[in-house]
Amino acid sequence: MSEPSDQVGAVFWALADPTRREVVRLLSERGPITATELSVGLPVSRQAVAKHLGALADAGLAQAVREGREVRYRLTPPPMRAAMAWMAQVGGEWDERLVSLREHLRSGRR
Amino acid sequence: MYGATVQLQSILAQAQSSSNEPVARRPDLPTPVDDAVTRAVVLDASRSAVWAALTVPEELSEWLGGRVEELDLRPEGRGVIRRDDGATRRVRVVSVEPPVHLTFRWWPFESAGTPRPGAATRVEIRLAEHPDGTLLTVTERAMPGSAFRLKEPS
Repeated sequence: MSEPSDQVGAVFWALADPTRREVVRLLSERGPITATELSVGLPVSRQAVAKHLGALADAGLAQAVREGREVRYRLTPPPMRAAMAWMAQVGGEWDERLVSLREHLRSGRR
Repeated sequence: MYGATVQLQSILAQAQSSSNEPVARRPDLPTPVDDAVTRAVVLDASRSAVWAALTVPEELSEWLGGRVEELDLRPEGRGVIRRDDGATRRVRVVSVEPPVHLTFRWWPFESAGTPRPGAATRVEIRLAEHPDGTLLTVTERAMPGSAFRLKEPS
């Protein structure tokens, strides 16, 4: 188990990008999963997904597991980290939506 | 990144405090974790204007993160949100009380060919009058009993 500050840093970094948040969510729901399988559910290329997976692995949030000829990714085991990642992802989405809602309400005013 | 810092602090605060409301818990977690996310904002608009933004499909489509193609605003009513890339997420209304309270379940975005659907989460939105407009509180949490499934290999 790494230091809490490492986890905080990793989560902080992971939530900064919408695609990465989605990758984290998909990993939490479906992992272990290959980059190709992940890219089916995402609006970005397999190469972009692979890049995000590599970055998440570097940050200690995801782990590559070789199975035969495939490389599958999963979230790293500590459940606390997974829980924080879930909250970061969902919270990040609402932060974005609420900013958009505020703009929408502002634009609707005469 | 000031906003993100505040957000992270709130995440940590939530992770460290336990909520008064009953939530699904994972017994294997080292610390009590409330698997819910809450945001509260004061919006400079009347409650009826905010309610419309929450319930009229054309308005929802402006901010919710996808085009609301369908929304039957009754208990058990269904909704569909479509993202630009074609992926859709299903919505199921739980309860509605205009103009103060809306609860729904929704499922993650799915593209055609998604291996299997993700778990639903429950979103509860409350509106309250506020001197500066309207206080909106939103809570999203995993469904009781299903939690956010962390399919970690055992």
